[in-house]
Amino acid sequence: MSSRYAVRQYTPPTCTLEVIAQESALSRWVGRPVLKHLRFQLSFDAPQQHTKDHVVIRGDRADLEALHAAVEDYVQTLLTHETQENSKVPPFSASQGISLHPQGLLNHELTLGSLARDSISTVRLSTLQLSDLATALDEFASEADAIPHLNRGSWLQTPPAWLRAAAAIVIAVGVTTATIRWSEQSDPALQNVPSETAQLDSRRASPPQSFAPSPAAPPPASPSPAPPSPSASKAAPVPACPNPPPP
Amino acid sequence: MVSRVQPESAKQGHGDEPFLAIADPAQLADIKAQLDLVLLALEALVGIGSEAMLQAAAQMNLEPVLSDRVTLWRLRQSSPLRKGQGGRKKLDVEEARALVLVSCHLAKQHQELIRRAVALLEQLTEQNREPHQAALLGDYLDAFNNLYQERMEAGDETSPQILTHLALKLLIDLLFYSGPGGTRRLWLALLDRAKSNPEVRKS
Repeated sequence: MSSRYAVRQYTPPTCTLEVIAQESALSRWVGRPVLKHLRFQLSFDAPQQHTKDHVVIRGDRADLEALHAAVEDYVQTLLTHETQENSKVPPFSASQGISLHPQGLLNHELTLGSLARDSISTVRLSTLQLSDLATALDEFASEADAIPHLNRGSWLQTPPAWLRAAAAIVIAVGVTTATIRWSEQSDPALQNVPSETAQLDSRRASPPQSFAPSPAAPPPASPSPAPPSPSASKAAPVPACPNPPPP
Repeated sequence: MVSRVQPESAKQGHGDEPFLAIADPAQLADIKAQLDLVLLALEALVGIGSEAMLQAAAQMNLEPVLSDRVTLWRLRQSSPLRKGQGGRKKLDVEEARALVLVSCHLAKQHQELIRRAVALLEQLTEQNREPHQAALLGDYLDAFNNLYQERMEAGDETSPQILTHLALKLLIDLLFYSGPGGTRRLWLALLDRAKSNPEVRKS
């Protein structure tokens, strides 16, 4: 059975969402990518902020879904209410402890819950950052479905070495252009890259090295490439990583 | 999704209701008012008019519902905030949907400008400066003010402060309506408001 391991990057101006996952064979029945073993990295990297102030969070499918739900609920509440007075904003159902609440009229505090790390448990977001975050999460959600672990058998409980090596190749090659196709069978419409994902500047050209699991065996391409030249144009599709050898 | 439909006999025409001197939040909660205001905000910020709105409608194959200036005016005129007694004050689901789609389409088209305006607003607010101090925002607030006073029944009696707050709230809303989930968000926001408002009528 063939399966593909791919990366997608969403780059609105004030944050970067990177998702790496394996495509399930179920995609064939659903007609769009169905992803498993999903991991994501979200960087709040507004250019106006110092790099040291950039917050980076990582998690799995459940974290990503909880974050998306929290952001959507919060945005919807903001839109429905006339004023941003704290007293009028109803309490949010916080899945995984992830929630948002207003700070004054134009700022918002994101409580990280299960995504907290390194003693960072909250992130302050401007309205633009909130909007960009919602945009990135929406873009991803509109393009793929993620499924929880299916108790199928043990052959792929954790990505084996070859898969991690493949992932490193994909990241190294893939982030030189804006996006990577999820799979060969995917809907051609998925090749239309949203403008957000095409915005790559030199700042984001280097691959997320700490995000990629380090390969056990040396892959054909170096896992730490020099930052590639940024691509200003919309993405040319990059082939998904080659089929892995059978286990 | 819950809609509360009032029997016809229980409803008075808008002309029979006394209008409040200051825009009542309950009235603002009305779907028709909200749709009209979202378009008003776009007009004030971007300087577009009915031509652009009709073009957007055509691009999305909404001509059966919204094809000409008169229809557009009629739909927007259904807002309870508008001047002018009598005339049709109903808006059915298909028409509301058309206005939602047109609004978000235009917001998306002009999202760079909306974004710039919100960025300026954030900046000035952080610096404790008045929004009017940025030309883009100042022009927007003036235009919004003028359009509101010109068109709305309580326009002249509504304080500039309230109008400014309303205009800025709508500007921020536009940012979210210009994104990929914009249409869904606007639709949900309208329905959430309508839960408490019996004026919504399903076709």
